[in-house]
Amino acid sequence: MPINTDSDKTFELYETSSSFLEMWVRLKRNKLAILGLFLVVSLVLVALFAEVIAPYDPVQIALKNSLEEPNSAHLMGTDVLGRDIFSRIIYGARASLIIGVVATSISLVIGVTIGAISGYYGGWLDALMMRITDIFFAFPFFLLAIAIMTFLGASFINIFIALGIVGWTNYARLVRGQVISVKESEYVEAARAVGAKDARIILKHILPNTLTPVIVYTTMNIGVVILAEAGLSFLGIGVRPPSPSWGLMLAEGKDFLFNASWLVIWPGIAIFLTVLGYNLLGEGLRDALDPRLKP
Amino acid sequence: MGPESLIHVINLRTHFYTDAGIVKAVDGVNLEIQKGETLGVVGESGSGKSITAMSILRLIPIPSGKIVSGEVIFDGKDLIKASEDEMMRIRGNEIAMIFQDPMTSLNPVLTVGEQIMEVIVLHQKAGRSEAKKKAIEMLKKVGIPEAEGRVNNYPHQFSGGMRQRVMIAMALSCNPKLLIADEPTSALDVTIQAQIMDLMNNLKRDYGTAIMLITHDLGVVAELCQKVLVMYAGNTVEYTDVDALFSLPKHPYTGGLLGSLPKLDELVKQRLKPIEGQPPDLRHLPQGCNFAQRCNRKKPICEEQKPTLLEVEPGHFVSCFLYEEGVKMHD
Amino acid sequence: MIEIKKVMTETLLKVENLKKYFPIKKGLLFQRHMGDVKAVDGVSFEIRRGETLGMVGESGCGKSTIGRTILRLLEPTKGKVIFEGEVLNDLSSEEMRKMRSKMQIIFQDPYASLNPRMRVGDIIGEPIMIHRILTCAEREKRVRKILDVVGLSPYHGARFPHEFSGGQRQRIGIARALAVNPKLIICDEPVSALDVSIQAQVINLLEDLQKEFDLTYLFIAHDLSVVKHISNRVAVMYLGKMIELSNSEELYKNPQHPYTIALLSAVPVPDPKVKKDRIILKGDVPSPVNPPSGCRFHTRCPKTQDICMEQDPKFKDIGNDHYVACHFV
Repeated sequence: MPINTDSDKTFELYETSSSFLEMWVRLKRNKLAILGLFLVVSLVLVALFAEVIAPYDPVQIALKNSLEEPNSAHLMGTDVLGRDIFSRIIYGARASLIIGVVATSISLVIGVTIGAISGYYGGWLDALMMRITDIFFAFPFFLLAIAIMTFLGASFINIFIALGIVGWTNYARLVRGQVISVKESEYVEAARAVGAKDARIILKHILPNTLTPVIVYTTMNIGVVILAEAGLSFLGIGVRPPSPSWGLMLAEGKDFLFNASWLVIWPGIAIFLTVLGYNLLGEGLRDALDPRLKP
Repeated sequence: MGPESLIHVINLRTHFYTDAGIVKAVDGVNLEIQKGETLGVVGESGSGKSITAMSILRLIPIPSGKIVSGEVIFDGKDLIKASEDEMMRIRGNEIAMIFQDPMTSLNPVLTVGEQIMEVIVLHQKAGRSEAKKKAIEMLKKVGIPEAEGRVNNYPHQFSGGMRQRVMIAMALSCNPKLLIADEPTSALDVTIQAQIMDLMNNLKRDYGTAIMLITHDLGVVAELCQKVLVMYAGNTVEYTDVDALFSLPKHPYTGGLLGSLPKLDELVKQRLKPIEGQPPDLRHLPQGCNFAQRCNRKKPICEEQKPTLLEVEPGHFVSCFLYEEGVKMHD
Repeated sequence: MIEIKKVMTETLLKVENLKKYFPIKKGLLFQRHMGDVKAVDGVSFEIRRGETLGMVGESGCGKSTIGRTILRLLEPTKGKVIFEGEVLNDLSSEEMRKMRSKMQIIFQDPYASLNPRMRVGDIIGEPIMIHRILTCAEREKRVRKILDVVGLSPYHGARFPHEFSGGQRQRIGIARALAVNPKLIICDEPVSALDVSIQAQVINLLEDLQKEFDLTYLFIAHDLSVVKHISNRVAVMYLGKMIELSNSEELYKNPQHPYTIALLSAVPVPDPKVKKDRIILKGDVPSPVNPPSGCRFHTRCPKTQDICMEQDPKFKDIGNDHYVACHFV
């Protein structure tokens, strides 16, 4: 009967600080993760306080100011309709953030539910759900989004639906794998022994212990969704003008790539920094939450 | 230090550096093993017995761990100061080690023959066919039936007891002077444990190897060992021969340990007398004796100063203020 | 302190010819049934109210499986489990769920049996909440009381399992089992993963709790000394079958089955002066997939003869509440 050796038990015996604090300590040590956190927090703040930060109305047309180079009045220049690019970038952050969060939430809810039920019950239910998941997986993610948007028509709400539907499969697979391993744990058996019903076991015992990879994946998924929205908007089937969206700005600016490059550089940088930030944060969280390091 | 002394550990200190503080896993351990002798190292979790063994073989992970001070004199040389090359010549060759769980300490993708041969080829500069013959011979010696065929089997094709025999074969293949066995029977069933203990007794006779047997099982110690070292929270607390330890234990921890064992042969059932409390946090060791908090015979001095390991009777060492002269211990 | 063991007679749990097989399936698409791991292969016994029935055996003997099958954490393949007169096998899953407030289990691994994301107070209070026994305020009071009873402090309820040592975690597991005031507690190797000095604390605790709350234990363990100490009667298991059952002193003084004798002689005694006449059994425990024919022990038994290979011996009563399954007793 295997017994923990000295070293195993010694370090496990004496954990006293809260797990959140430990995670934070580990995260702090990772410089790149902190950079990611900084970028993400900046994005959130910019989106929240857009009204305060933006100097101009993003949809205000002023043809006389059309295609101005970046100057003191317009820090990032103006676009072909004379709209201040800086303000549009700021409001675009809000659009990106909202889409990122809402679409990811939809994917999360659908994916976690399917993954949890599939993983817990197994059998034909699992096989059926996994085949459905496989069907979705067979389509290239972006192409499917395009198809859905074309079918539904470009609008804010439709983007949530399209990106939400396209992204649930990864969650389902992720959660299913986690549930399958966690459900064999002794504390789950203990919950059954104590008389808990299936719903309680899944919600109270299994899912909270599958959180770690879900958190990590969610962080990175938001970045992916923002990028996808930019792509859709660029193709004209995303956010409808005149709403500011970085992707839309890229589309509108692509004709002026050589003579007014600031129209595309700024939205490009914005997208790049946002996705980078989410990716770095996500990877940092994955290391910080590593279950091998946690008791 | 006797003339027949094979290994002498003096004041060994091995610490680990973690986020939560410095873990003083081994903090002043002294032990000595004579040639051909079996020393039992007894202790519970956190006592530092495994870390002591790893320190002797310099297998402590650096930088998280560090052998802070002390000497390990083996055959005249201080192993702490030896180079890594010298240590590699010693490991498996002059000092061998077997571990608790044979499931995880054998490589699952190599045959047992290859694993035994690896040790022989490395240290005895033998050719492969010669090494294979030796490997088969070792398997026979440890009681594996049909050794010629089984030498080509993989670990998963053996049972737990057989795998432990394979480990012993590997360890003894180069006829080491010292065998360190870290809980070799804890993961085995009791009847298999009996087989392995029997095997180890026989091999001891045939090879004359000194054994450092690390275990928490006092029954195994009584069966196999001549001398016993008791460890608690990184220190040596008692060291003597096996008869003296069981009949007249001096350190309160040893006494407490013996008292908390259920006896198979007790005629009338007696309530167990456990040691109250828990082992200390190795990151925050108390100022005085590490055991004071749980000791039912503690005195004020026990909480202020750390006791030293003294020879209170010929061959019987204890680290406890109850036995230090000059300290008034009368109730 | 010398204790007198009570003589108990009323039956609390009865097991009749219980079998638990785990099917082995091979194949990619359509899995073929290749055979079974016969973990428990026809076991009958009873547990009397107020007693501690110990169960010992080595790996593959089926003792842990029996514990879980009794509670229907694993569904029995065949046989009956009767608790206080009710046949558990016939109950629907909802009825069985309600039964669980009367029969609880303590697990072996204190590190794996507590949900790392739940606070200790919630872990202990969960069974009470599930079975709707008390109001919220009453439940809190009871949790605090139980924490005290198992030797922890009330403020420990707000902490998480990882903040405790192995021995303390085991106490939490015991507290959880006690929470709904069960009649029967299955103790599945409750002290095997603990240090020796902590084992004694937990053993004493279990004994005290038994007296205070009038509990009945099925104590499953591989350590014979521990089992003999805590049990009134001891059952010895080998490869899915019960081969001997008697009260604990009798088993030690007068073991009948050759396996029991070998097992007792194999236990190392913490006393160097005791020189044992050790019986070393040959070979390894056979696999429960293909158990030997006839008496399962015949491949390793020093007394084996032809009849042992052909016939499975019956579990007979040899008087003095002592049962053995051997042709030569």
